[in-house]
Amino acid sequence: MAEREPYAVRWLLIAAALLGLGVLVALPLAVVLIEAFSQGWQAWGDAVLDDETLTAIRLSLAVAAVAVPINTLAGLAAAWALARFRFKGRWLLLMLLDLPLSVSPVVSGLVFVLLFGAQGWLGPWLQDHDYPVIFAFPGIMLATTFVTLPLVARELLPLLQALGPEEELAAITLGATPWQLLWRVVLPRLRWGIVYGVILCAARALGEFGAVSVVSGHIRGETNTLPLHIEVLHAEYHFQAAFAAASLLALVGLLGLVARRIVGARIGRAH
Amino acid sequence: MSIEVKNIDKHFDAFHVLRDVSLRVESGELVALLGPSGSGKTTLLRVIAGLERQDRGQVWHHDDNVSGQPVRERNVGFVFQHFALFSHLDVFENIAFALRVRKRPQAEVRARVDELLRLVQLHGYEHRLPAQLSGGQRQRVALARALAARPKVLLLDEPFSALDAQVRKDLRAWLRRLHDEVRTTCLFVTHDQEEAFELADRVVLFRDGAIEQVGTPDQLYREPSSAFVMKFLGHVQLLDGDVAGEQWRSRDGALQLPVPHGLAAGPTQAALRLHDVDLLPAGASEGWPAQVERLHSSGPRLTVTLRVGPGALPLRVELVGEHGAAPQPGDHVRVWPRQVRFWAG
Repeated sequence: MAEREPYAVRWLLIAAALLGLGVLVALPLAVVLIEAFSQGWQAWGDAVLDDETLTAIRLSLAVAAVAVPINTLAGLAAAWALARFRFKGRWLLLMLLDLPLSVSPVVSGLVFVLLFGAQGWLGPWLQDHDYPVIFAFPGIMLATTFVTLPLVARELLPLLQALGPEEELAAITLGATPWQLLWRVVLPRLRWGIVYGVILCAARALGEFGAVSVVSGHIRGETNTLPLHIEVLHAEYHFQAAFAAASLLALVGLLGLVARRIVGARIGRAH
Repeated sequence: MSIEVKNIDKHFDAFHVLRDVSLRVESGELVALLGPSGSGKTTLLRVIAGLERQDRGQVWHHDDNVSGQPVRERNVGFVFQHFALFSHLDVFENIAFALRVRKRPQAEVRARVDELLRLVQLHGYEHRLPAQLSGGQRQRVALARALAARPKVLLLDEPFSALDAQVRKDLRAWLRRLHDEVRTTCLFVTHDQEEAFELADRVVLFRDGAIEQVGTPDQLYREPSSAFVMKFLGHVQLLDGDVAGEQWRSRDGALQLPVPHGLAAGPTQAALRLHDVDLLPAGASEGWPAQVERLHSSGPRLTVTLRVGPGALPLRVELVGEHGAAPQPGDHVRVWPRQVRFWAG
């Protein structure tokens, strides 16, 4: 058995970690909440129920409502294919899956501008057909989906690999069709992993700033998502309103953390 | 339902796993695929099930050529090495799975699962999850699940290797009785010679992706077709040497044996079964002089390790049953093989 570190060393490490996290994480979070409520509940409510803020919230929710299902289905398909099959181009798929996480969101946004923007490859054609993508909902939706694409797949891939293919093979020898295999064996075994991935994906979709900022055009009351709206408020010195809106996002993040903690424990127990 | 494979060939990348394997298993037979790991036995089982696709050759189930058929349509029962029970379903739903995917009416599912629960002696366990069962119980659930849709053939991949020694022995006897009761054609893979001999009507011995010998356990024991077969079945010692004229001579020249008439001259191995060697007193007129090195007792069997001849060739001898005055380490004795087989090469 390894020697226990001296008591002092342990104490020092824990203190350093707590101090670091306190300054970098807990303090800013506290500031957000304190500022949000600095002028009382009434002011907080007014700021949150402001028309432009409500529009921003609705837009963010709509974007997440599209991005999350797409990424869940695509993530499930990609994770299953990557975990179970050896095919040509597998490494390429793995790389593409990581791309949105490794590329700066601003670059991701610019790629869409390049593709769909007024001077882009498809932009003129889209404009002729009166279907704006950039500076409109489709662009925001595409950029958000792109940035959050790997989250569900990255959650399910290791889980599928850990579960192994044997139960699926057993189901096939017992006569299950691919559809039955999916519904009766794969999905039930992955359910908590999927919930976990969806929470992760939704939190990120609601909070995405960089890529969306590039494609949205910041049209007030129209193409500003909640994070963009917060920045606008802050830039215009509406500090209390900005923090009130920010407290909503922080709340979503905290709820996500709690849910992940609960679901994570369930995944742990299932094995 | 009889099973036949014809000229099966299979590669995993550069590795030649199955080399032109042909085998026929009669309806109702219980056959063991035996061999060292990597010899291709599991791959053949998976080819028969359709879990692997052969590069060349055919698989026949009775009169049907199923070579290109997907697994799902072959209706084989397959028991996986680690059981592969559905961890999210209870015992009842695990066993019912094959009937559920075939959309059988609830009453029929109920009746069939009940029947199988009785067969595998797990009545009262239907609402347990696999994680709440012992290894032996999981194995029996896996068997019942595989049998539910009345498969044409039951295929078992190392069915006992994940179990404790005692459970393994009990389950082995139980599986034999079960087979005699349901009479489904049955193939199982094992690397354990004892297991194959105890359970199987016939044993198929694999070596490097090809079938080395097929026969009843008795045939394999009495008429081994090669030194490999003898060695794999165990309790045998191979001595290198050469045949010249009517004599076999060990490599160091110290040991000699008469050989049957007409044996070709050249490098030849002499195979001695450990219990076919007599231990004689040092003063005996025949036999090779030897010195006892070590004794090892396992129940009724006493294994004596000796050094034989001037070259001190190591040799083991097994004495079975009462061995009155056992030799002691350091004793000088003589040994003489009652029965020897010679293998050219």
